[in-house]
Amino acid sequence: MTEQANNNTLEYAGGWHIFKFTFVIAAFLCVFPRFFQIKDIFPDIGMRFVNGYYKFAGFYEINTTEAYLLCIGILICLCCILFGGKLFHAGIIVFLTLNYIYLTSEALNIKAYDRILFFMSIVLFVSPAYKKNLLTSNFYPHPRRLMLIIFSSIYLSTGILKLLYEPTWFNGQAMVYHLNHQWHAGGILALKLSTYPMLCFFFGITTILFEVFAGVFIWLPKFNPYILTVGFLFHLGIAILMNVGPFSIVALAAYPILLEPRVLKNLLIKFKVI
Amino acid sequence: MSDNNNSNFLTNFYLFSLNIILACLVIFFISCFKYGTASYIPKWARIGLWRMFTYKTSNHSDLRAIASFDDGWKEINLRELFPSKWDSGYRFQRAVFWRNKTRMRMLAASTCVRLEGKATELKFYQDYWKIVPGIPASSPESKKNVKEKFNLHWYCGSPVYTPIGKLVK
Repeated sequence: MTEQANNNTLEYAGGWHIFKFTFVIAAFLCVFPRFFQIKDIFPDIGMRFVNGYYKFAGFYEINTTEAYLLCIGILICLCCILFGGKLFHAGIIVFLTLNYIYLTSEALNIKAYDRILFFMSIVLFVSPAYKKNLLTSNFYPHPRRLMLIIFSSIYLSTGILKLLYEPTWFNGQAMVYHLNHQWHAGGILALKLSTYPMLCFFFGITTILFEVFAGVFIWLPKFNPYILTVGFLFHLGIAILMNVGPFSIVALAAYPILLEPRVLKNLLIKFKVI
Repeated sequence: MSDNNNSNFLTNFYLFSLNIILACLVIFFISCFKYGTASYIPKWARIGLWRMFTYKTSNHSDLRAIASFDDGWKEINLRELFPSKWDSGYRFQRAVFWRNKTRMRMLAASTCVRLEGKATELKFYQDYWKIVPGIPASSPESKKNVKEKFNLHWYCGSPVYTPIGKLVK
């Protein structure tokens, strides 16, 4: 399948090799912390947020032991994905199934990064990431286009909604209040920065500009590396200043795929990886 | 020759399928985006709607509870009773949780269980106070003008329906 067929130009496939690892790390960071919360969530029914969007608990209520087993199962699936080969696709399907059962058992607790991870799993499934020697081979651009659609939609959607419905993003007020949020803000540094209106104005404007422009320019090979560099700093900023779990890590996990394959290849050559 | 044909067919089928998935994803995300500011979002659209920190939040809020024991009403520490967090705070502190009466009744019933039957009644309140830039939510300076809103009164032992409609006695 790595041969030329139809009129589809092949692209450098090394990003899929890296993505396999970044995906597993991101998924691990999403799943592993849940392990320590099971003893609080599952012993009595009240704290299972079953009134969420997708109610698996409507069919079957899992207990504490089953919740632990699900988490262990998910971690085993991640190992299967990591080692690739014949277990790769089975690993993704079982990972999606077990993760679905776990998350929908405490449905209110499904977060943006869980949803991003879900879409990334689908892309991983149709990708060539299970193959060997990807660092030195090429593949069709279609799976990468799927990833671009997902991230384009995320950035554009969040950017346009801010642009149209919250004018305080333009004077920095929205940023000031988010950096002060009792739960979402990320500690002393965020609090301190919120007292600098000009800085918050700058952060607010750049957030909207990045989100709106990234959705479009991520597709253009000429602008792609620059947009992703800003994106990297953007997610690093979120990781430092906000308390939103592994969101930034999950988003950044897809960057080796989002990056223009030619640029990635040059980078890997420059750093003598290949 | 036949192997070659088979391989070509599979490759074309694979690429065709990916194009279909791609088109479906585009249509799906555009359809989800339509609900960006809607108060009701259909179930199918929730997974593909990306709405992150869109609106400014001007207030801090805190769910607290008091319980009636043999020796009168006492403040109870919900954070100690339900310690797990959802990355950004205690799970019961999420607005989608405390704004929903069914969920609150479940939390109340669960609180009675976790207090080991020592409480007879519970009252839940939502405290609000203005965000002051640079001042932590918990500091007395920030909590100068706390407003209180009654949320729920609960008698321990009352039957409760789980959010999926299952009766718990």
